Amino acid sequence: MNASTNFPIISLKGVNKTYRLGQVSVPALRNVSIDIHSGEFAAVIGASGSGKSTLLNIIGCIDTPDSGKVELAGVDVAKLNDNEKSDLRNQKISFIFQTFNLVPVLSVFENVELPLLINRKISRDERSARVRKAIADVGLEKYMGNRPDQLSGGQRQRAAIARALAGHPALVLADEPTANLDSENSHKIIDLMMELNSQRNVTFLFSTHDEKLMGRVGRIIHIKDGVINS
Amino acid sequence: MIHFWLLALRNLQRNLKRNVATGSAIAFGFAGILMLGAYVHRVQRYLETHTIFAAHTGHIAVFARGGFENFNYKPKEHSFSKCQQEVIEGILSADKNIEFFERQLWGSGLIGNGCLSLPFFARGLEPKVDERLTTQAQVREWLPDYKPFLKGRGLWHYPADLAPLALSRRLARGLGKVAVHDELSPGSVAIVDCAANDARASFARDANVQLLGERWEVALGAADGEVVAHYTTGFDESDNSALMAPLSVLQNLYETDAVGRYSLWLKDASTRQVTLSRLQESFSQAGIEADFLPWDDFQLSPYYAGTVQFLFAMASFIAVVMTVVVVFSVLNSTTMTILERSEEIGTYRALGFRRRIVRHLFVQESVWLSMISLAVGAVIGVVAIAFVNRAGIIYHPPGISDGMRLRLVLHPLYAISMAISLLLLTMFATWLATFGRLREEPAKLLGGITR
Repeated sequence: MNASTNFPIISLKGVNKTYRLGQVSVPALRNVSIDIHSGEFAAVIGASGSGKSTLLNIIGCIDTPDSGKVELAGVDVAKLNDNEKSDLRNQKISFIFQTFNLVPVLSVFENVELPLLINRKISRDERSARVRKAIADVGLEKYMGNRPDQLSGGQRQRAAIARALAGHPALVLADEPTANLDSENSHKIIDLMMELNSQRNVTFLFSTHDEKLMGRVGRIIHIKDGVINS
Repeated sequence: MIHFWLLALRNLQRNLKRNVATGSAIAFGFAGILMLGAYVHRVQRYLETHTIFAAHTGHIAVFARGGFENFNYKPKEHSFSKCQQEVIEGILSADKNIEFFERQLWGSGLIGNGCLSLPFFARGLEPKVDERLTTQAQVREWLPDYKPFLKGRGLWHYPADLAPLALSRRLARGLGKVAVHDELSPGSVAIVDCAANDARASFARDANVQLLGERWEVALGAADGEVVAHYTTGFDESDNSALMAPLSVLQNLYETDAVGRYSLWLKDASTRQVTLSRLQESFSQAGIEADFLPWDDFQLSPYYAGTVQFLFAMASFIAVVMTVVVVFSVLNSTTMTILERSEEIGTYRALGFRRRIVRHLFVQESVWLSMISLAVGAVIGVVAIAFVNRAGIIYHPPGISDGMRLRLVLHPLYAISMAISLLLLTMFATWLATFGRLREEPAKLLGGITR
């Protein structure tokens, strides 16, 4: 595991988020303050409905807090417009989803290439090289031309990890990446993520409610009823 | 590399049933719009050609000042004298855009068979121009079945001293002149006993008629005429009184050398307004007071103008209804698709796709669907048009005595403009359908309805 630096890549101060379901208000995050440092491999642990996903969504700029301050690499996210947030996600943050979220009509190669297509700073050759390397890193070279429905669950998640890494992000957010996998594949995916964290110095923050994984991560953040306990 | 256009094309396969249904709505809607347009185009060009050529209206009609309204009441004051005709024809012959022109006269009177007289309304034309009009390229193209006479031959086949006349169908029947000059033996003259039971049969044995009209100066004038042809005006209300005669016959009847109007046919009709302005100036410089009316003027060609306006209004209404159905079909389909693919949209947004790019993806899908559907619709439309044209359907619009053959003629420019319009509308409908959904936070989209 890579040693973390003192530089917080993520900084949340007094963040609150409440969802409204009809007449009912459901607080998802309550006065959350947390720093995640560059290169960390951290897990957010909590029961279903505890606010794990909301926390990751806000950190990943795909949701907006009701109050509080979110800084990513020193940038106040509240000051960014939608296009700037999109660019930030494309170039600095990557997501790995519980349900893989691969585009079903695209091959593994094309799925991994997808986020790079909108980054004009990357040339065609470099894009191709990055995609091949990312696919090789997750061990899916033989399946480059396969579509998601021709892959197993574990392979699909590997393809999703390759997609997340191809853009060389500073931060990877994984929302319950092992929830749809069996025990063996879950461990393989965590091992892979840890290996990539170590090799590439990429910050990993993932949520899980699988307590068996707790002992394998560098930092555990407990969340309950929208409040961080550690 | 996966190009976004290719991604859009592949995405079309994901919900094939719905896309086929939407595509069918676009294809059949477009085919219907093409058929409607082909019908309107054909009828409009038919009426235009009929008005300009068959009805001798010309591209421009020139009347003596006030003649259009008052010639029937005061023909002498509102006609062109012999001297004026010489000046006018000099101007017309010198104009580079005038292909040919015709002097015309018209008037009313009584026509008789020796026993019975009926009122007539006659048009005096130049037979050689009449002959020329039947051979015009536009007439051959748009009035391919055009037969100016139901029976007999054109006035130009006969010498002027025969005073050949073409009678409208019911006028000829009313006078008992059911046979025309060519059907009778030369010089046949029937002696008719008006009180005899077989008087009507006797009328048919010769083609001679007598015209009686009020001379412009004083008293009545009379002239003999020979029925050489029968024709139909196309309108029930005039089919029992109209006749066509050489200009010289009517001038003789009304004892005048004046003409009521000139009809002008242009080489290039698209520059009509320029020619008209030029002629107005030339006439003014020559001191001739005249009124110039374009062929499609509502007063000059009320049947054409009224029918075409009604046709355009009706067709526009139907086309708008069809287009609205197609657009709402696309809007409905796209809305459903976007609801189903909310998670995918959320994924794109999480990967850093800007709203505009995601919207483009869906618009590109819509463009594919529309283009494929429009191509299919064009094929359906063209085949249906060919089928209708081959079926030889005769229909009877108001005022047309013999009915018209239903023929559809598609104008390529119309087809292309309609295709582009539908394409743009479907793109707009898709843009509209994506608009609201894409305003939502990506996190909400990711938690949305999934497939």
